Amino acid sequence: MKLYIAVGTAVLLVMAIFIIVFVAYYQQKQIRQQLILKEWQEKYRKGLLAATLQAQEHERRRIAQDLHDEIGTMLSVTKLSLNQLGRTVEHNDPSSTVLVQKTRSLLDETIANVRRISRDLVPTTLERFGLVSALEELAEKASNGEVHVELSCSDKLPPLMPQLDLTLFRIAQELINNAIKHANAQHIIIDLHCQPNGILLSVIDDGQGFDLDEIMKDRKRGLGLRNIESRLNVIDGHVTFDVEEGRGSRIHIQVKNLKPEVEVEVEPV
Amino acid sequence: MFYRLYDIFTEHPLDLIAESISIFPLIVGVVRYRSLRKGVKFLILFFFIIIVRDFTSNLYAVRKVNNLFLYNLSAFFEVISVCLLFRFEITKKSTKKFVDYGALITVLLCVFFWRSNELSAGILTSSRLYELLVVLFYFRQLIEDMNVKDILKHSLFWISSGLILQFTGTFFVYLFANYALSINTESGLFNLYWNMNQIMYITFALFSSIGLWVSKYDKNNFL
Ligand SMILES: Nc1ncnc2c1ncn2[C@@H]1O[C@H](COP(=O)(O)OP(=O)(O)OP(=O)(O)O)[C@@H](O)[C@H]1O
Ligand SMILES: [Mg+2]
Repeated sequence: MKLYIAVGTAVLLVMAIFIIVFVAYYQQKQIRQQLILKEWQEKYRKGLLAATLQAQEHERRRIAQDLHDEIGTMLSVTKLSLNQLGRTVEHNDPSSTVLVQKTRSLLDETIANVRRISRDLVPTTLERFGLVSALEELAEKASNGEVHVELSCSDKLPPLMPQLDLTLFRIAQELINNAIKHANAQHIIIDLHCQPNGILLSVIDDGQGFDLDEIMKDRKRGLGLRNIESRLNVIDGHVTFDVEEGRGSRIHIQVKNLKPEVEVEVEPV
Repeated sequence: MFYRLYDIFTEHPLDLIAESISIFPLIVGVVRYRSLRKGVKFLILFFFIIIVRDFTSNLYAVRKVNNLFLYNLSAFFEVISVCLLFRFEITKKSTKKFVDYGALITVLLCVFFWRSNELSAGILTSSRLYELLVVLFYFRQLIEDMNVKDILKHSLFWISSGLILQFTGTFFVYLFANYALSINTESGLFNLYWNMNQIMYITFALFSSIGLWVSKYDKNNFL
């Protein structure tokens, strides 16, 4: 009996130890593979997202160029011939002069619109003069009698990683659009802040605010906030919504800026 | 009275260690209470019950009252604790059912095998068998689900390992409790088996302490 107990216990114990070691070893080995796979998938997804965003910017640039070069040129030529026509008409039929003048002002307006649209499609200021100037311009453009947009940028920005300035600019654009469109804000502050190896962009409005959970649940909601998230996903950024119904919204964007960039590529339109 | 207790502990020094070691996981568990998973919280209760049991059993030993039924009684709590410990972690419906109904059946079996003046092989073996199966089911789930990032920082892995070591180390001793741990067993042999039992319990308590200690990593340790 003594022997039975001793041998049985020994066998069981060895088995138990074997099971424990096996579970730990096998689990650890498999999970390592899975983690590698996951990392790889994540990388792939990010790459895809980045490519999509880049394609979007390319397309915008192409449309802007086409608008500017083709429609713009055509309109200029049209204006030229209208001027000629005007001179002829003035001689023969002075009563039509008003009509010609009206057409000319319509044409001028159209030309101005085409220029504005093609300029808005591609953030030229951003490429030429950097993020701060672009945001300044954005604030200036968005300000009118009812809304006052203000840029507060405490310190000089370090050189930014490629794509980072464009990302921040597009995000600021969307946030300001939202604040104007949905919040009925009167005062909007864009705050750009340097952090140790990162940048903090905050857009603060004094509007009516909103319930983030409800918006996130809404399937039919717009693309703005979702786009912000995917843009940030590509560059490992974070967005914090400090929002609540009944008070102004504070939305903070935090991005890393580790590798300083050499020079921004300028592509004229 | 203290002389008597002193005598008992000098006679069985391992008992002193085994009985004081329960404090260890209890303290760790209380310190880490907020990061413990739902089921693991019952482990603290379990060790508390063990401490109460050991205290009472010492009291009885000093008064020379038979205290062996306390160990039968604690098997009930062990079964219920193991059930509560794992039932919240097990995701598969059928396995969860097994854990629940298995506990019920085991408790009924324990009632059936009840002995009030000696260790009951029926109670100790059936409870151990149930606990062993539950742990093995949990291990299978760990391997199947593959959702723990670092298993050495997973509280339930350590607790399960401790449990399985304790069960396997004492299974045969309990299976033949009528022979090995009965009143008629010669005291040298009894002490040998009893010490084995205590050593396995100490192992379990230490493993549990590690498990409770690493529970702070649990929150970020899942995929
Ligand atoms: N600053 C804000 N103040 C109040 N409500 C806001 C603000 N920003 C967003 N919202 C609410 O969140 C919703 C979702 O915004 P989001 O930018 O995703 O979509 P959208 O602006 O409606 O559409 P899109 O941006 O695609 O043109 C908005 O419809 C609005 O109700
Ligand atoms: Mg929007």
